[in-house]
Amino acid sequence: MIFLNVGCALTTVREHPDFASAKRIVNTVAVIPPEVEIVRLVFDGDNQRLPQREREVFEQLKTQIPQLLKERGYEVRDSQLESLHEDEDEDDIRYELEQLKTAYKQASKELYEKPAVSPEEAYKFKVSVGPVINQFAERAGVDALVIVYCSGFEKSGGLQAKEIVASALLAALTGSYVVSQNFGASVEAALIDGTNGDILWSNVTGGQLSVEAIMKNVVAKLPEKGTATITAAQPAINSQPEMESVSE
Amino acid sequence: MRILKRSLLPFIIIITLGGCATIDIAALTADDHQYGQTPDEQKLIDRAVRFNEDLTRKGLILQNGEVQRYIDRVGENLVPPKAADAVEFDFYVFRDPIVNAFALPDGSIYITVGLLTRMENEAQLAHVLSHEVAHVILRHGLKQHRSHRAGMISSHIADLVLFGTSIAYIPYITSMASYSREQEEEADRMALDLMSSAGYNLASAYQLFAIIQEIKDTESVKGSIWGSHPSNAQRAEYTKRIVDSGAVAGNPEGRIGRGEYQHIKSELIIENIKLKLRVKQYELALDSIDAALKESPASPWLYYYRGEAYRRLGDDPKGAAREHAWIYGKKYGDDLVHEFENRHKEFYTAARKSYEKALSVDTDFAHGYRGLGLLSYQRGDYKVAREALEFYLSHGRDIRDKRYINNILNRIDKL
Repeated sequence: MIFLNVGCALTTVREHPDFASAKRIVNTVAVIPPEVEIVRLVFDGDNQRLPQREREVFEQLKTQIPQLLKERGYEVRDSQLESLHEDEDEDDIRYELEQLKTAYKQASKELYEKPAVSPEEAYKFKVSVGPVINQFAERAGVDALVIVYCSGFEKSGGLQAKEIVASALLAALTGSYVVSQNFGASVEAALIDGTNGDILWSNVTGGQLSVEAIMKNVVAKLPEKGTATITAAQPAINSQPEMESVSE
Repeated sequence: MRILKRSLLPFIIIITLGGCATIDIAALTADDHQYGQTPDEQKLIDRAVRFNEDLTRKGLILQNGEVQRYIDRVGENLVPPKAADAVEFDFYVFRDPIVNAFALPDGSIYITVGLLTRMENEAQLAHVLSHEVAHVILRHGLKQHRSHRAGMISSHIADLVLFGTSIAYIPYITSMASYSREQEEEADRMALDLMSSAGYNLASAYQLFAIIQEIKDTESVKGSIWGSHPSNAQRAEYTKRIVDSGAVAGNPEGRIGRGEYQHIKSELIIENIKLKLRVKQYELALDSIDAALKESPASPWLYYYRGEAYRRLGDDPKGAAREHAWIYGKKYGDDLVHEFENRHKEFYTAARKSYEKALSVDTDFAHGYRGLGLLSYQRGDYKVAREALEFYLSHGRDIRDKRYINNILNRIDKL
């Protein structure tokens, strides 16, 4: 049984064939300010965002992600996007950044149409966000950009109590007791080619660990700079670029 | 007695709480409205403010001085002075291709680019804004919140499969701006009063429903009262009945305002098309382009985006199949994807014709060359691709994809 499980190991990692075969090498990267959404789930369904907690996680990720990328051998540069929030004249670039994120969300649907795939499948993804990324790569002067989404929840005391009562009732009726999670988070990260918008690598994972630990697990699957995930024995199809190209 | 008290306690609490929930909430036009003075209303207001900050931070509020001044003028003219004293009404154009408008309890009113490009005149715009102003005046957000239905509606809508919009904001809207049918009718009724006071032609209100009835599912948010909502026919009928009965003093000669509205709309058409293409609404973008070409048959930009829509239909059969399945209620699957894959030549031919048409309208139109260049590269016609892309780089203004295009030119060099 154990052998069967190992044989069918699935992965949440996605890689562009050129990146997986180290045909396309990334030296310099910049991190787009991460998107963080933490919600408190409450008894009456009127769930609330937790801006203070979001800010804490944002600050934590802002420090942690560059460090993790450096550990994988990448040179990390400033994205030059932090100051956007304060500058009213930068409205267009803020909008373009949002469009890049929208393009990634669309691409992510394709990447994760099946949440987990076999390793053979994982290195065949040729998905692009298009040239919308160009100006951000130019701005930071890097080969690729890293985009990160973090979402999490905490349950209020009321909701926890309600679920304990519900579980106890269920246990009385069925004999089985369900323990639900009181907090959880998931992190999705992607490395995107700054020239043609190809998504070179992505990974998503989640659970009841701290965001810091989840982030570490996500980036642990990023190949070290210049290394190939797949070898010549597993050829990576042709290398025609994707042509996702809506522009001004 | 003690036992009786104990057994009655839960009922007493329920009755007391029920009593709290049914206390009348005065309209903002009343003298003693006490707006924002309860913790729950203040919470809603705070949430609305944060939502607006979020949209602004993301650049999702359209910053076009001319359009903004126009929307402000039309909107502010509809707000009764007493309501304006109670709350500051702000009108925003939301950069989204879906058809929607909504009001939040802090007096912020949003109308999407998608809806603005659908309407035909200022009176119709005035009706939409009046309806949303009415929701704020009547404090429907607070009433709905207190009725404990907001959470249910919110989770219901969030569960639906949403398509083709920057949907991150949807749960927030639905938690603050989802109303009952009775409240929608109440807002429709008050909207006629507000329109009438501002001197608009009331017939435009029910004509608007005829327009939005033609909207396809993909163009609206599920549950949006301005989208493909099943009750639109009833709303049209209800509104027409009120107008015909003379219950609202309307002026048949009231303002319609087509000319100025069409000018403002022309400012937004390209924006709307670009937004649609971004969220993979290719067929819907083509519909919008074809409609716009009837008004502006000599616009090279419209032909360029027509080419872009066709090129992407050819490039992205999965996205095209998904959109098609959604619009026509078909099953999305391999068969439909294959159907689109098999049509790629047809799409690329249409794309080429559109780019060529753009260039026949304006021979120096740089983006026409961009489209032609990318299409030619895709089709393996590298000589044409090189010439066209070089022309684009040398003649285009404010080129943001220089790196992308240069990369393609480098690839052509290596071939």
